[in-house]
Amino acid sequence: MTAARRVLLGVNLQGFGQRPAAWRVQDVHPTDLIGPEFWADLGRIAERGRLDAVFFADNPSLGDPNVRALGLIEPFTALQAIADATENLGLVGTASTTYNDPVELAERLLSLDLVSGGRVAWNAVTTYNPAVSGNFGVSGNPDRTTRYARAAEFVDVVTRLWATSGTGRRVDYTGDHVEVHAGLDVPRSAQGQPVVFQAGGSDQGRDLAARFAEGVFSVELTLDAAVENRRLLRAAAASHGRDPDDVRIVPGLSIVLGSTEQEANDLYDSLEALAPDGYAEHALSSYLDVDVTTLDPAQPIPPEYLDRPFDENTYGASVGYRRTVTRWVRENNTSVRALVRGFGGYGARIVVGTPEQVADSIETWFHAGAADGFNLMVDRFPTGLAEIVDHVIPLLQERGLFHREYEEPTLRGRFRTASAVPARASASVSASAADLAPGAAPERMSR
Amino acid sequence: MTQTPLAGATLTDAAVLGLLADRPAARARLADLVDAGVPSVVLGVDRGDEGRIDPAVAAQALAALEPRLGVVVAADPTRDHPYNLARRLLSLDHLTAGRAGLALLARRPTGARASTTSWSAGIDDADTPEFARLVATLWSTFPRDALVGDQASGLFAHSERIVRTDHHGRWSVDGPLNSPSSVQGLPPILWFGDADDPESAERARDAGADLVALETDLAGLPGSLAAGHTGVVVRLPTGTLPEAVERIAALGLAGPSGTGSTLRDLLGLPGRPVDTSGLEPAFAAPTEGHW
Repeated sequence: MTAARRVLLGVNLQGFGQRPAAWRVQDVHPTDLIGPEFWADLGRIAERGRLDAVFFADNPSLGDPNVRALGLIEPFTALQAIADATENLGLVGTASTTYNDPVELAERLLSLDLVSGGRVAWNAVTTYNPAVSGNFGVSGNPDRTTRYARAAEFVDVVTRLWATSGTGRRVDYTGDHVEVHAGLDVPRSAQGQPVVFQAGGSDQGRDLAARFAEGVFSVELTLDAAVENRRLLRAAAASHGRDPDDVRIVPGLSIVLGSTEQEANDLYDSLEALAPDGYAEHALSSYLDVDVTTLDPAQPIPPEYLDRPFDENTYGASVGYRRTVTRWVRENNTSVRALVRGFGGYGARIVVGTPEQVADSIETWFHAGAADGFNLMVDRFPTGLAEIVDHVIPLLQERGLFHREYEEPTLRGRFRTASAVPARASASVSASAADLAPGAAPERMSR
Repeated sequence: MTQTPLAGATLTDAAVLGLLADRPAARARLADLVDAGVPSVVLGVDRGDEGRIDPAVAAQALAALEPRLGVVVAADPTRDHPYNLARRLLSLDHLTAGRAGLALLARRPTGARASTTSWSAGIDDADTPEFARLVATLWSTFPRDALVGDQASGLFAHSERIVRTDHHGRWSVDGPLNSPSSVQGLPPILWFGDADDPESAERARDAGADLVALETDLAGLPGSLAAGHTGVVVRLPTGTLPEAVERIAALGLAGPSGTGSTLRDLLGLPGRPVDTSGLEPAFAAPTEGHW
């Protein structure tokens, strides 16, 4: 018997939490972010909740740590420390296709996949942060078309290199951006080779995902758009000769929990009050490419700002975020003040509420075909993650939406089993609820 | 502080893969190695030709199995970008509580693979000293004691103490590095070259290396130590590690010193604190309400 399709859940390890002030309300010190115990602890909590994976975003540059302290440790190095503290947890790290060497990266990631028992995934990004180029001797990041042309060759050649492991074969690859004549002599890992993720929401990013990605970190704020974008990406994967179920789409989901909705709102407001001045305004401004602090806070954002065309090829920030945030603003454009108040996911969808409300939201999106899973953005680390594991995960397990045990030791193995049965149509959710309810789980586990 | 006569032992990639295939046995083997007076293992200098594992991944795995063991990782300046390499090595150093160091080779081994990345075009062995100095500068840009974490005021870091590199040479790197400095100040840099090659010695000085390694095989080890050399690094054979460890133990070298646990302590090297003099601040000083 085939297991029911279930939600995939990862957690985005963003320093002390997604709330910029998270470090001010927990017993933590800045140097915790570079110590092994902080990361090992988060890994153990995530594994206790049977989460599929932890994830590090990344870019090789330093922003002012007083605004937000992120990326103080290299992702795959931190993931190796987490691997040492866990047995099944997936380990997803970000590395740039613009600012790495493909053979070096391929060898390093396959080595980590080997020593971790087949749990590694690579989130391949092209890097748009303008602060990065100066660290690599170029005057600016290449334009989007060039970045993605290199990315496609880079990802192609890395996966080919991985495929040579244990075979003695070598890759002779001459592209417009990448030339490689090498083989990898790293032994094959338990899952063969690392899983490939992609995170860009531009047209070029989606094409890259449709060709190569097994997981996609998407940016979705509204249900209808998420359903449509997932349908398009699956169709694009099929057009490249792939099974659409081989591409798992996991939008970001920000969570601030409370035992009541009021408690959650109070926590959210107290954390925002401690954040650096103008943090949410700055995030909204950067995604919309307009300084919202110059606008009347009591009025909607004027439509001319939302309707402006922009050159996606040379646009210096994220196309995916701009598209998604613009659509969300159109649907919620009551006032600048209200928009800023509702922008607490800083581009990701946010649920401020009870564990039941979070579980309901996950269930609704999953059954609507908007997502195969979620990349959770947690308000505070480690406190908030433990709360999600203790209060949200059991609800999802009771509803048959999430596994109770790791049924496969490798990350790719779990991706495969999680997609064993196609999504139920949203119309049949209520009718099928009994099938998914608690009684179904023991049978699944005993198979 | 007295430098230890035996600085470490090189392990081939195949030897590491063999160790990691049985981790309980590897723990015992590495403990024996430390007890025999070998303070560190060096990865990536002598890779062998029977399998590969990334030297930094190998170093981290071995360091996790033996908490008293230092780990030294070789970089290839024709392949590794200094920003990426500096960051990964420093991250390894953080997660091993200051037990990491960098190895640089005076001459790349024959058959090494050239990178095709734009920043590596034309880089050769003569550029290794600049690479070493640039990495050391990057390691200095973010003094760890700039991190304060004052929860009451909201001051996370004295960000005005974080500096740029503004390096323009064979590589051009603005900085700062996005990882705070090591508990050991700067992780040590070990230089590997032919002891009879005057150009290698010159480059080691130019690189600001903390230690020039003198490589020997097991047969030559007693002679090298008897001659009073420092920085001796013994090449361990791939297949017969237990026997090799026994032979080293039979030499009766002093075991772990117990005076400290960073790689600098383990090697008996003097401290090398971060120095940001002459470098420009990367960020404005924080002001109330604007951090």
